[in-house]
Amino acid sequence: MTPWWAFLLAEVRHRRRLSIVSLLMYVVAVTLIVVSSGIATSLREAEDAAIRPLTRLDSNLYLTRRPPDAGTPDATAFAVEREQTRAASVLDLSKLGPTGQRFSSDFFLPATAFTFDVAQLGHLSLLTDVQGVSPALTLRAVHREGTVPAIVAQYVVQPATVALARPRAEDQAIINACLIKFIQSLPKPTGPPPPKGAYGVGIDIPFTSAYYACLPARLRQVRIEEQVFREILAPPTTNIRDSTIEVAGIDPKRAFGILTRGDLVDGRWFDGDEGHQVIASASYAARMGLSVGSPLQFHETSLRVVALVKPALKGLSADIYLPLNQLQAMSGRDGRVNLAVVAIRDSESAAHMRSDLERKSPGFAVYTPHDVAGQVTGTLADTASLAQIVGSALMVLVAAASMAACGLFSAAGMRGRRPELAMLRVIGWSLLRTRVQLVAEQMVVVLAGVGVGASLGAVVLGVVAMVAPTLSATIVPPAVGEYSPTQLATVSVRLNPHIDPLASLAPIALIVLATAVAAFWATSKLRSVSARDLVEGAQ
Amino acid sequence: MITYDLQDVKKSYVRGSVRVIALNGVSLKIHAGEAVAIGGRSGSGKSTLMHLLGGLDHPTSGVVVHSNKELRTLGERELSRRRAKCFGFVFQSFFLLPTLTARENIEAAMIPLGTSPIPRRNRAIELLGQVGLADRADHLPGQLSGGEQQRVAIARAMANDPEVVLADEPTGNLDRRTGSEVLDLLQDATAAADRTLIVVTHDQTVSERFDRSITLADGIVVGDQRRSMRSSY
Repeated sequence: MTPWWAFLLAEVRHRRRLSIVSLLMYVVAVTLIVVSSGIATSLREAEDAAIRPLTRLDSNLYLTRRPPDAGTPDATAFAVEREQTRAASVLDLSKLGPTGQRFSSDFFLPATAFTFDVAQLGHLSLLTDVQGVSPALTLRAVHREGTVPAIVAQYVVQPATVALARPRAEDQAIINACLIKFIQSLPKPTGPPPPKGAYGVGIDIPFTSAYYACLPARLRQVRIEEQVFREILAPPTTNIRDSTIEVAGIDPKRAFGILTRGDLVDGRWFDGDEGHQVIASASYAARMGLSVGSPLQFHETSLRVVALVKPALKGLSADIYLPLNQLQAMSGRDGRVNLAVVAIRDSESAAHMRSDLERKSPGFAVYTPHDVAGQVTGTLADTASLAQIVGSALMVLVAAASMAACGLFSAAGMRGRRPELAMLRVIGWSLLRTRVQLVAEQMVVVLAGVGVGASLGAVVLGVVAMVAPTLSATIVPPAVGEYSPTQLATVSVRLNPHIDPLASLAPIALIVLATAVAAFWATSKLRSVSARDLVEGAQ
Repeated sequence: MITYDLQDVKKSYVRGSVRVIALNGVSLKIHAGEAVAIGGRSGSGKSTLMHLLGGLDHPTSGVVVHSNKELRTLGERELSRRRAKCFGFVFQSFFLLPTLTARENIEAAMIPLGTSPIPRRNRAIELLGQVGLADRADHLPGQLSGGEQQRVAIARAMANDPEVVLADEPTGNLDRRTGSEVLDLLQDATAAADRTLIVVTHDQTVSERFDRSITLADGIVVGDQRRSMRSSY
């Protein structure tokens, strides 16, 4: 071994405790880098698999209807649909049949937006840059079934006032307390005690009642919905259960839209001559045990699965797909749609077209798949964001740690060695060579730290890979009006962390470089080392 | 041939709040091959003079010329190279690098001149043989006696076959017998190679062993005595 190396390694060994502390700091820093970059890379790969398709799908534009302003001609139809939707979701127990009998019912709710007449899309085809329009109807089909409970009380529902708004949570608590007080003041029902599973709904509250007396004045204008009574009077103790399924009606003749032939993973596209066909999403089929050819009972109709699809996450995917006219007929929404996919001729003009469409389609909201991508939520998106924040913080931490380790080592490397370093200068070592020697001592430690840290990081990543957490991404379309958007698509991605040499290289190189620079800077004190240090060191 | 030519050299420095005048106008010439003892009491300026001769420090005023070159005019790298090539240093406290073996300490002195590893190693072993420590090549300084350490220091000083060997109280930390042996070694080694030897000492008996004895007091030369010529100049 040459004296240079011997000197270097001997000095590192000589200050063993400090070398170990310094080494540990580098090991921790490099381990963090390797682990975080490995996880970040796997997250990026998961994003590529799940979320990125949103932004590279197509340049199509999507139109939904905004709630009309009060007083406009559309406002009435809008109010009717809203009331129908509300009424459809309310369960009138008195009409279910005899107590103890099994019952089931099916109804539709708008999945994301209110419907509109497809004729309102006519103007779009006339626009120069529009290649075509593919209307769709996305609904949430609710299947409700259970046993008819005993009716223990029945009241006439006569809302006293017009609803102004949903009360806030704290106001709702006040309302609930007053309701309970009022209910307790009502005469007890006569006859035998209700059997288990009793259910009651419907109250007419006079203005003069204890309920209104109990309420603060500001809340007396708030209408009490039946749902409120139901929740308070009889928590669902029956076996009545709702199951929902997202269903989309599409135009099978269109080559573009929320579902295309390119999304098929098994089976065939709709055959125009054949009825009762349904296409199921692969995830729904897996959940329900369906395959191509399986029968599917939907809304009192027997359908047959003709294909399985894995549609890209456009925020508009559904569990099952039906021909548009068939879903319109089933849901009693003939001629109505709630979504239009507008294909434009030139993807470069998407931004221009968007503003053009917004201008020429009053009452409609226009958005792009890119908007949907921005709405991605779920553990994948959360973790990716967290990884980004942690990654940035880590860089600062790593830089600080390496500088601290370097400062610690270099300062200690100088301390108590002035006579020794002075002797090197005396025997002809140049200032530069002496500084390089000290820097090299530090570099030995940092390079050892890189080696150990990278190995440790690989082990940690291996452990994480064995655990293989599953992350999910949920695509939520933009909210329209007062309807909260429903969850339309969720994908789960298994995280597969592994070492990413390229991603790790830059920050590790930064550590090595920062250490070299800091160490070199720290050795600038060597300029003042002179022969006098020999004399003073000896004294 | 004149190795050193010092003209009115003055050196002062500040220690705490006091300005100390170490040399106050020293002028002298030292010829190649001379063996010179620089004596004087403690604080007379002899060590400071040796630092100036070795290019370890610069005078406050006056000039120090070595081999027709004023040392002050040399840049840091050139001065470092000159120290490595032309000067060999021996100190009272040896100043061997504690983490290197005896052989590696000698080799360390050859690194600045870019000597290749194998010749460097061979030269170190040869020098250790000359100072009687061939069997101690792989010992650390801490495993050697004071006399042995000083022998290693002498071998290190001779590593690059320097023109001048500068020794500052080389026997100061040694017993009389060992000190005598070390002086013998120094004088024999430099005489054999016809090199200049300058020894700083406060010991009169040491000074008496040299051809020429320069005495300093309060920073000036108060005596310059020649006994016999070791070599012609």
